[in-house]
Amino acid sequence: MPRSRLLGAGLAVASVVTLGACGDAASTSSGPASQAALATPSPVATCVSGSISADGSSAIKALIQKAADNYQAQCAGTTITVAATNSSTGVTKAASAAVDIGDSDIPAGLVQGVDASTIVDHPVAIVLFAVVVNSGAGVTNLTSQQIRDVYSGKDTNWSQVGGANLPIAVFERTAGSGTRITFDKDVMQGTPETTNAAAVINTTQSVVQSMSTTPGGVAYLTASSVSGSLQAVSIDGKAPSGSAVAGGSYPFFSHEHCFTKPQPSLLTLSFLQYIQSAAFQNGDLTALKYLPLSTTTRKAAVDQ
Amino acid sequence: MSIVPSAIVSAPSPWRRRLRAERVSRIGFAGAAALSLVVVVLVILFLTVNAWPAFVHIGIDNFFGSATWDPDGAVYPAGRYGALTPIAGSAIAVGLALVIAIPVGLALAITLAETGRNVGERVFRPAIELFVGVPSIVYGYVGLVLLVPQLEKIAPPGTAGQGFGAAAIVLGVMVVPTIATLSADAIQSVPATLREGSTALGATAWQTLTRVVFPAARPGIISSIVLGFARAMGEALAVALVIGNVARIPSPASGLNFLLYPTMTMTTTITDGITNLGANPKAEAARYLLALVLLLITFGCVSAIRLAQRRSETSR
Repeated sequence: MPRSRLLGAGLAVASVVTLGACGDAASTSSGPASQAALATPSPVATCVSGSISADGSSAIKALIQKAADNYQAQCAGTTITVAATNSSTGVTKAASAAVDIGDSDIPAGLVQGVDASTIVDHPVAIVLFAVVVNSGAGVTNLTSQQIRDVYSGKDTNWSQVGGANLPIAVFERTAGSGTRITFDKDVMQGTPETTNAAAVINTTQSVVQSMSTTPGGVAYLTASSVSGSLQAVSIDGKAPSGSAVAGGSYPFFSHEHCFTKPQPSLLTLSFLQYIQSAAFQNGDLTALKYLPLSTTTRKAAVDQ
Repeated sequence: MSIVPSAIVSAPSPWRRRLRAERVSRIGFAGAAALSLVVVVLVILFLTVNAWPAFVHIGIDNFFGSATWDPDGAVYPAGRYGALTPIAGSAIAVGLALVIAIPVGLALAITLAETGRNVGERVFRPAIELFVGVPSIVYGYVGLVLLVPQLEKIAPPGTAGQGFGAAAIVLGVMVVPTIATLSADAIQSVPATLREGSTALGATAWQTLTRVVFPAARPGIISSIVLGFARAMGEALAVALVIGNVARIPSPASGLNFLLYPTMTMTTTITDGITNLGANPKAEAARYLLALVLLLITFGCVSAIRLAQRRSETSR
């Protein structure tokens, strides 16, 4: 008996080690990672003490968390609690004052059951998205119309849009995903995505994994998640970049929002001002691969 | 009622104390049993209350009478709530998984129970029991990274190897340890006298196994399969990674491709909705109803098998 227990324990340790490895792999492939932070944090101009909480979109958790870490490190007596669930929860909690700040990828008007007029929108960053293909597809540029034809299921082979003779495998995101909502509004412009998808996926990490092993795959992602055999395509000749967004020619981006009640606490205001300050926007925020608000004054369709 | 003789009840203090301890622990056990019942009732109540808007706004006929499932309005802006697709998806995926897991699990159980004590007990059993505790995300991840790319090579154009085939293999592998260890327990608990009697009558090892040991161990083996079924039916995470989550049941006429087209189960569509809680009350109610259906199906199957088992035992 003792020997079998020993063997069991050994195998258990081995499986825990494997698990740990899996976890690492998942976190390195996930969008903006905290490792990208700057050596010296962006300075806080005016400190307010107290405690506030934030909850909402997981897509900007890294950003809010970084800002909170910087703020707390530089301002004594301040506690900023940052949680992440999803955009709808963030907006709902901001409206019911369950948190001081509700983070969201999408405007409050797109969340059902919330009166958007009871909360105030503070844009904090711009997120760049990209349509990606596996490098096996042999395309580097697609027109908006071609993307709509691919995603509506009209075109089923890459040769129909100038690529290799390879069947197209369409990867979609789960309905309700901020990325999907933005893609459907700004790129598909109302044309429904095909019901013959190769898979409908609920996390960015799984999209990256599935895309990397599917030569004919096509998907849409946050641009910062594009890696390995994934190739971001140019849309109407414009590669996804801050300058293309600035020039108004690249349609696939959206604002990240922080929602508060109309009269937030001084600390809430000071914290949001810190995130919006030029020092943070051009410092830590850019290092985390978000685009600063100053990139463009134009709004994506989903933000309107 | 009391099993304690009255002479002891009136006995002096050491006995009294023990008696009191016994009474207290009995109340504790009864309380624990009652609590588990209360939890089950509360779960059903919770699901029913949350699913109620689905009964009112979607309708049972709509829910069970259609196979178009689009609760979030991805294609039909008003939403479609035909739950036959996820229900059939779960039934097919779990059925295929059991087709894989039952023969493999029983073969392993025989190996565990019938090979020499040293090898079976000291090497195989700890290894297999360890597999029972492997988290399902590990099975799902291995399935996605290793299995799905292999299946993709034979999958039809426009698909990625995700579907019933990958789900059945992942689920099958997941429930094999449950079936194997519990069945081995049942086989081992068959009295040695039965085997000896069978062997003494001139039966071969195979005859003893199939005609004496298996029938005697049948209730335990069936229980192991029921538990395996329940685990497969309720598994969400591992399946969600490898089945594709596309709301469509492939045509049975597509032959082998039936296993390779993406599809969905009840659990995967419920998991999908979690990222969307609070945003769409009607879709949420539909998913609660689906959860209730899942619970009732599992309950129903478990009870039906138990009932059949009891009936066959009394008729024997």
